[in-house]
Amino acid sequence: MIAAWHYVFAGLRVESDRPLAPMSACEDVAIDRIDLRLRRRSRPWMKAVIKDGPPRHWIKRLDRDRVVLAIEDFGVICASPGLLEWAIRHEADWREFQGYLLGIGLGISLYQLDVIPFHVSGCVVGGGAIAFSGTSGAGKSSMAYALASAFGGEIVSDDMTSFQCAEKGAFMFPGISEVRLFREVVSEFREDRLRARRDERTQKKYRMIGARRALRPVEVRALVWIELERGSDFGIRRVVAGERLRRWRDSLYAADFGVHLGRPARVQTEVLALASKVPVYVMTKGLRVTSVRSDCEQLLGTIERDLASK
Amino acid sequence: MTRLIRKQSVISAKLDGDLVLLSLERDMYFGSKSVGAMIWELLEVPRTVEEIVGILQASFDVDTDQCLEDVRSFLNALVSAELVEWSS
Repeated sequence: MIAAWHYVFAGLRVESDRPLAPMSACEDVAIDRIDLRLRRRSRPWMKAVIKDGPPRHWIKRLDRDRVVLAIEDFGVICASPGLLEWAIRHEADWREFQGYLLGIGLGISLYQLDVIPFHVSGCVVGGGAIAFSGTSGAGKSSMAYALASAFGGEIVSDDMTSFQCAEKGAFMFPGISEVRLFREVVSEFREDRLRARRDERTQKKYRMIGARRALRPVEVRALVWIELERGSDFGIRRVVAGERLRRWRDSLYAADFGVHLGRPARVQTEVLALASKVPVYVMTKGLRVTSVRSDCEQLLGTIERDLASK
Repeated sequence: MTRLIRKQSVISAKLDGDLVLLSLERDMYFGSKSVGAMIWELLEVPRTVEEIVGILQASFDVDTDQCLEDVRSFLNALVSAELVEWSS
């Protein structure tokens, strides 16, 4: 009998043989169905990879049923449908390795289990979730954390989770609640600074430990796409769901079924908004980090006024 | 008999009568004809190719061979994009 910890992640029930602090514990007493198991292993081939590095032919292992990741200086992760096995180097930092395991490792597991991973960060304020999407470094985590911190909300997920569309609306599943922020942003949250720990892996970001977290799926109030524009001031405007898709479609020759369009994160946001009827906003901001708190106040004010006028 | 059904993980929406699907691979697909959207609706429950052809023929004036060919080609596109799956 092995020790086991149970968690929920993106709507999946996860069992791990090691405690995983950034994940939310599964509240169900009867664990009758486990979707994903995380296991520490010391298989000979894993030891060999840790010692000598991956052999060149390993690229062949990158198929849907078995993905092996050799992470330099840290260890090995092997993802098969429903099973995430890992081995860590003796001298590696567990917290940093955990970042890989719960980031790229879980992302691959979602694919293998037919769950669409959404690249979003979100928080609950005022009884519903606000989900932020945008390219890497756009400020998704900063906005989610700042909103939760300023208005007594909870983090639903940082960086990745999944959604479920209902008749009218969408639900965001809790994911990882340990938010990673840039130093400039951390310095804005003076009262929270003691909770921030340097992320040795990225060297640029800090992990905010112990943020209040949502434990159940949360109905989404608004989807916000963050658009970075050089020299731009903060701005927020509601857009018609599907507007961008129409422009893309019209610019393409779509005579046959199967037109592939790029910019997956923006595509995801548009399709989700179209399918769920959740209001979608575009938030523009400059490249320099200014005041996240003040951005949050303007953003929430706009959304609240908008929803109140309906 | 082998049947096809939508994959649960796919998110779908209508855009001016066209079909927009978000697949697991995060690609987006437009069904450029309304028939494509109709077939997608039909695949909410498991169906055989022949069942789909029969339902379409009740609504459209098309001969069996042509309809069968078009439906098969459309379904193959859905299967290769991992938007539907076989159900036994």
